[in-house]
Amino acid sequence: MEAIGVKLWQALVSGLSVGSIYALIAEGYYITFITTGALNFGQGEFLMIGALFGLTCYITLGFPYAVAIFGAVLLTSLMGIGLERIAIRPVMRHALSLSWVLSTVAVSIILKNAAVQLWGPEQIKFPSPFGAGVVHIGSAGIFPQELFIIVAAIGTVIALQVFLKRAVLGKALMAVAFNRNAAAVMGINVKRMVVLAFVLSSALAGIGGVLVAPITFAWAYMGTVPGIKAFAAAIFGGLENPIGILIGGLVIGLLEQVFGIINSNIKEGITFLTVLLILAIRPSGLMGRKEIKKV
Amino acid sequence: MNTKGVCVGLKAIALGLVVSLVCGTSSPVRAAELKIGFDLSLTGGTDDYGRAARMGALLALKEYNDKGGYKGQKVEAVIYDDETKPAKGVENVTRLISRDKVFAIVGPVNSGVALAIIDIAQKSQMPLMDTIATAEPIIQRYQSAPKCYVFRVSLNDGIQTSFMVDHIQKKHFQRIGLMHDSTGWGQSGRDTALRELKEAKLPLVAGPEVFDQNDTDMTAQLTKMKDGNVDFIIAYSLAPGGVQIAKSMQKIGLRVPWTSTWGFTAPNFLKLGGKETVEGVMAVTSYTPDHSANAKAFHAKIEQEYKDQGGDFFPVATAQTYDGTRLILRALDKVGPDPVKIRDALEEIDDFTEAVTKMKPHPFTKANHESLGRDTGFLVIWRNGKLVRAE
Repeated sequence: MEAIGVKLWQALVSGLSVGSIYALIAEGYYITFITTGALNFGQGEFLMIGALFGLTCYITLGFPYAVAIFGAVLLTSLMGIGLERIAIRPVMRHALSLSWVLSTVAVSIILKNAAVQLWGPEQIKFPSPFGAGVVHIGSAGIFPQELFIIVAAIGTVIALQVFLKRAVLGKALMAVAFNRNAAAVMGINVKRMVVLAFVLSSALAGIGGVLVAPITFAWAYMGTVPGIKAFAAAIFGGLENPIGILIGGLVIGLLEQVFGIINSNIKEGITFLTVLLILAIRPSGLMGRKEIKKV
Repeated sequence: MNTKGVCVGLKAIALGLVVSLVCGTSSPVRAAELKIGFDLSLTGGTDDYGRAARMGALLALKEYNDKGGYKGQKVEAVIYDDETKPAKGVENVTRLISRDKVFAIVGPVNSGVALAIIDIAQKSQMPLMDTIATAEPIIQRYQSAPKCYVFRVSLNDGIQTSFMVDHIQKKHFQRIGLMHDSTGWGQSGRDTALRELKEAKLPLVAGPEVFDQNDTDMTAQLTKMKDGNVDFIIAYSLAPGGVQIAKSMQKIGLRVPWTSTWGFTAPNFLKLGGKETVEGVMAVTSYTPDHSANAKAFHAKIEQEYKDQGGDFFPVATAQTYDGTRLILRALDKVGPDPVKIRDALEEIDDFTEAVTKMKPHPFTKANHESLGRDTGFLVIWRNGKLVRAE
């Protein structure tokens, strides 16, 4: 019988790597939500396209992994521009319009179909650039790719924060988020900032795809579940609070693994029950509202 | 004006009658088109099986037609993809029966789909040849009916599990762990395994532990196996989940022999896992391309005919469907394209010596619609990227 501490440690290490991917995708929901009030419900499918295109760059074309990440980010960014143009801008003419829900879901379904046509319906192996060996942290085993996911995903989230707080473009985007009309009066091109928000959001999903594919395999249906769980992480953490979202993602990843120790039959049920309970106590999420006033 | 109008009208009706009569005379020729139906999963989770099955089916049909077909008439294949969705399977089978008027149906691939469509086949008196799906109730449900319309050329889950139990007893394993995926197939596998283990008086020391077939980290479930100090694990998992189990076992340093059903003989198990990861993992099979002269010749033919589709990439699925389709064509030769008579004839075929699987020359009887039984399968093990017999 292994000590409970050993099991918890393994669950913690495994949970962090899954959770950091949820967090990465969820930050994409945050960026577009604060600027336009809309989310891309196809974030998971953007992740999938990132993974499959990254795979094509990395394996079929033989480029280095870093180039594959860059390629995936480039493609998903361009797709972000396209998404904003065809699925967001035309339906956002009325402030209360909810058509973006349908239009982004429609895009996600089209992407899934297209991916099946281009890459086939099967899982495809995405070899990790860090090899297939296991490294040990204390008593817990982990794949180097998973460590890389944790570092790269959290690093990206932090870099995003620095960009939004320090860079001129980032500040302009936050100004649009804070008050569209005032930002426009100050000479900020609101339309461009909205496009930028969708580019950033899509790029985050693209990075997520290339990071996670060596663990999950790359395939047309890989994005649906992470997309939904990331959405849960975003709501759970507080949709308007990037730090809350990071924590939300990690917590959901961890809860799944920890409840898995107790009983694998009910781990997802209990995880989401916990999410419901916390939302009942704090309707705007773990760290919602309070922080937004500081912006 | 009025009478003239009536006259024209009558003439038009008469003309219509003549036209319809002419068309009517041509319709028996249309109805006599010989069609065999296929409902396979060509996309979705189990498409590997579907695409391999299609090769076996089409080769059987091609050979039949090349030899002159049924009394000089060629048999045509109508193939529908059920996308591994039960509702789509129901739609396909209904269409095959009512619109395409096929004389028999081969399929499906997925057990969930099968359980949804056997009721239609039975009610419509349409012979259904399952050459892939393994859930036990597919045959059991109607086996005791006066006329059962469902036949199988595949090892059912119970028989597959009994090979595992044989292996466990032979090797004197004492502490068994059980895992299964959360699909309907995985859950029915769990019940089968619990029953077989109980009958063999083998103690289950860990599990049943469930996992989602797309889970990427199974360390939580496997830690319980480790805690239970298991010496053998039965896992009802398809290939992608199996690779994740193998990887998570590496993570927590669990090294025990373990097996799944024939899911792990699927080609994508090796492709997804790589040689090192799948090394030593076991699976069940009814067929290897070298177990008989028939099998060898068949393997060579598939390799050659379907080079562009990956050759004999999933030999078991291809071979079983080849035999199943040929049995139907044999019955067609005997009694003609009448579904009810074909069903009866299938029970009577007793000279099927050209099987490539290990079925007997008299594969089906009234009491038994399972052509592959206890003596037709064994455990295989992945060694250096190849499947070899486990001993």
